Amino acid sequence: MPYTLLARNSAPGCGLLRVVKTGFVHVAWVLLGLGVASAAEEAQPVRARLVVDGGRPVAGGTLHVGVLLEIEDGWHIYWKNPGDAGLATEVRLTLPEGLEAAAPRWPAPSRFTQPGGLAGYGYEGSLLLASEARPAGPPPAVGAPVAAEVSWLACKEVCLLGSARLEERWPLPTAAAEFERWRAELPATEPPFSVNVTGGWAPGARRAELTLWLTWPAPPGDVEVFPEAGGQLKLSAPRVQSRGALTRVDLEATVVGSSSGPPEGLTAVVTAREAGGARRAWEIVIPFAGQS
Amino acid sequence: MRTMIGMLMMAALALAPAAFAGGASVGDSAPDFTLPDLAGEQATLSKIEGVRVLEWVNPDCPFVERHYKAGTMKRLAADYGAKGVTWLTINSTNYMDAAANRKFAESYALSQRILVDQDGKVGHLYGAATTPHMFVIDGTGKIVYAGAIDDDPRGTRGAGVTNYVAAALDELLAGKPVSTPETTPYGCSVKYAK
Repeated sequence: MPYTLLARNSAPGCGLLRVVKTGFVHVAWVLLGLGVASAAEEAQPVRARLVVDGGRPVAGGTLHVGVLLEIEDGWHIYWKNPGDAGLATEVRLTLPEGLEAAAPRWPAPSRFTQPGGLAGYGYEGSLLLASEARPAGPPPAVGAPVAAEVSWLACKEVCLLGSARLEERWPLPTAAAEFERWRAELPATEPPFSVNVTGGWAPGARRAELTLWLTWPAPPGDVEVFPEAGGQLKLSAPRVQSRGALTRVDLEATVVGSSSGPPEGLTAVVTAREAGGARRAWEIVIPFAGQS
Repeated sequence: MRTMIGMLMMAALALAPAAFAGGASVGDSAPDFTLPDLAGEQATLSKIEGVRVLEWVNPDCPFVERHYKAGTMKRLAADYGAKGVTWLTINSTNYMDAAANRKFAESYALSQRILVDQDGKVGHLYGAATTPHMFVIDGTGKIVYAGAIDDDPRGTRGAGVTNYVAAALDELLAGKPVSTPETTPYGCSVKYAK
């Protein structure tokens, strides 16, 4: 998980809102090469800001804090597994005294096919990457510092690395509509389908072809599968075919790095459209036990 | 009844082809190819002896740019070139012709051989996905490493970065097996012709 809770009080800031966009530096380098450095600020296709969901930072209440990344039309940024190419978006929150951040939760990504048939998983339009902020002592004081380090790779025909250090004072601005959408797009844990796995690693093999069989209670629409890539596995983009209430997912998994064997399993997000057209998402864990 | 339908469906889906897109894997013989270099001469992989490194490049990609500004590839090409390793930089970017590649080579004063693959044929042959994407081929023509240049995608780690290509070449030149033969490459997607 590309996530670290930075030391508290590390970023006191000096104004109500101070945003330092180190992304400009990268953009400026690219543009200097092209001889149009003056347009550096406009060229950054992603803007990031700190937001809360309007919950209450007290015992018994739930509150979420996140970074909202607004992406210019035509550009995309990446999910925790970027796919065949790309780079995961990264957010590190520093919450004020009195709050503790849980790991951030990612809304279900979209799949886009890049030239050459390369699959990418990520977001267009916007991404809210938010964490539950759990009360840890008295509620944060008004004016307490809040910070986030954010970095991303934004791609269109070209790719730009961007990063921002956001510094704000408590309380943060609320973004109720964005959080509502975020909740609707979070993968649920109990899928309506059952999962069977066939195929696996031959003894000593690094590469395996795996097939997942999802059996649904009713024929699903537009099934997509997004595997989380661990450090130990390199995964091909899954090929998904549905017929009736059965979905077949083929993917090729390769043990990479210096690890000696496959991990115990793989986490993936499965999405499908309901009859009304709304997309739903579930997170599943695919065990490799007994697949050797 | 439901189970039976399910099984029939499974049988129907099982008939669908399950083949994956091409690409070269570690342990395979490196697919042979011929591409023009910047002098207009044809380079054929199988006619080059010894250990060879293939590097996919796109100077507009920030990951590539970072490595070129840091001199990573140029240094490796020179250091291992002195030990008999041939470094081939392949550009499968659809909009970069020989002239654009020459400009790139001049701007970094590069001396490794740069091959132009504008139609992406060789990129697809190897399954090159990212820039950079690295392949190391041993003296017998077998792929012994495929993946990332190093373990620091964001270039923020400072000390303690492992350069996988250098590690693979060191092991190969010492007659040892490559201990990390495959990693997940990182970078921009190769900007293939549509």
